[in-house]
Amino acid sequence: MDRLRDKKNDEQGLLSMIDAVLFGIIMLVVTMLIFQQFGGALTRERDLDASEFRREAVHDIQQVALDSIIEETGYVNLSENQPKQVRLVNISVERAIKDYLYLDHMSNDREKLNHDLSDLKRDINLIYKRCAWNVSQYNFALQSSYESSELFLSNVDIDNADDLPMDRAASITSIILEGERIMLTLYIWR
Amino acid sequence: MAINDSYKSVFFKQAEFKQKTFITSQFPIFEEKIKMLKRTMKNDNKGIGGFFFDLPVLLLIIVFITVFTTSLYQVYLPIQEERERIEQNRVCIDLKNSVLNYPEILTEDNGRFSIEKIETLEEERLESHLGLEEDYNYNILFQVLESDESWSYGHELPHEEKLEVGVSSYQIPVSLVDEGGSSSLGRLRVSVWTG
Repeated sequence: MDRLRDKKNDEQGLLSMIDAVLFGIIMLVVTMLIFQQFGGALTRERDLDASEFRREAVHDIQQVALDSIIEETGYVNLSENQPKQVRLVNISVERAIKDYLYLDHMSNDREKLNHDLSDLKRDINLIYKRCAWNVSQYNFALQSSYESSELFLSNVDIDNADDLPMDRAASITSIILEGERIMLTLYIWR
Repeated sequence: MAINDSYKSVFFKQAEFKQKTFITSQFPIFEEKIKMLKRTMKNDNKGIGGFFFDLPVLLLIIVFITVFTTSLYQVYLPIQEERERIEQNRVCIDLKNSVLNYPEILTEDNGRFSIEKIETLEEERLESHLGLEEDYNYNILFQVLESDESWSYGHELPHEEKLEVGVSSYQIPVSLVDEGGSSSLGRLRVSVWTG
């Protein structure tokens, strides 16, 4: 009988309990929000992890693509009265890139020289597309420059490196052209 | 015994009085609080008391602890899977590097993959070269892109749905050289999984 309480004291007890329940709910909500943030951080970590595969792949793709052989390609020499088709047989992609950069620079530098290098560029692009897209399912872009010439090619509709997505991996390889070191940058992304 | 109890009682009362006097003199606001703290089970009418009142509180506590533990577990589970996946990816990349540097399937002059050597490769020798940990299963596939001809080593690829972490798969282009010395573009796919 001692423990029987009057109405007023009962209400005070209930209020304490409601306070406790509300406090508990707030704590649970806050805890779950913190956990959700933690889970979001994990997702970002997963993206970083995926980029580790990409970083590894970009070097492998670049190495194989540069060593690949183009069986037959060429360009058109427009410098003379009669356009002259020049054939290049069994050349490496590295050699094809060097030829493209050199001839393009010569065309820009000297008024009398003019070359149509679209076939050469197309065949370089084809090799990179087979290596990066067909095998590894990565989009790619290749960029290089030598003196006044510029080479930029990609399997998607991008005109320059500024338009590339942020979530990408790059491999920079140096090659020697006319005694000068030039940088060849391959970007890949998904 | 009676003297000792009496002595203790007086001692504690004095100590309590001194403490109360000190606190209330320094912080008068606590005087009311101290009065409340002196309540016993008998006169505790302001707090929660009684068996039928404790039961819902106990249920609520159980519900809260359950929800909290469940949400904690939901965060921990992906962390554990993530750790396993990162480790599995690392093993996959190591395995790929081992294959790329395995001299028994490379040509002697330019370090490309020899189709002839791949065809005659003994799986046991490859496995001993790779030195993969026992927990992991692997599958290595060489494929010529033009002819779709392929050679596979290791275990058969499982269905991804059956695995907790899934399969780490890495594929890159490689140069494959045939008996005549002509080179063609191929695919090397390295897959690693556990269980």
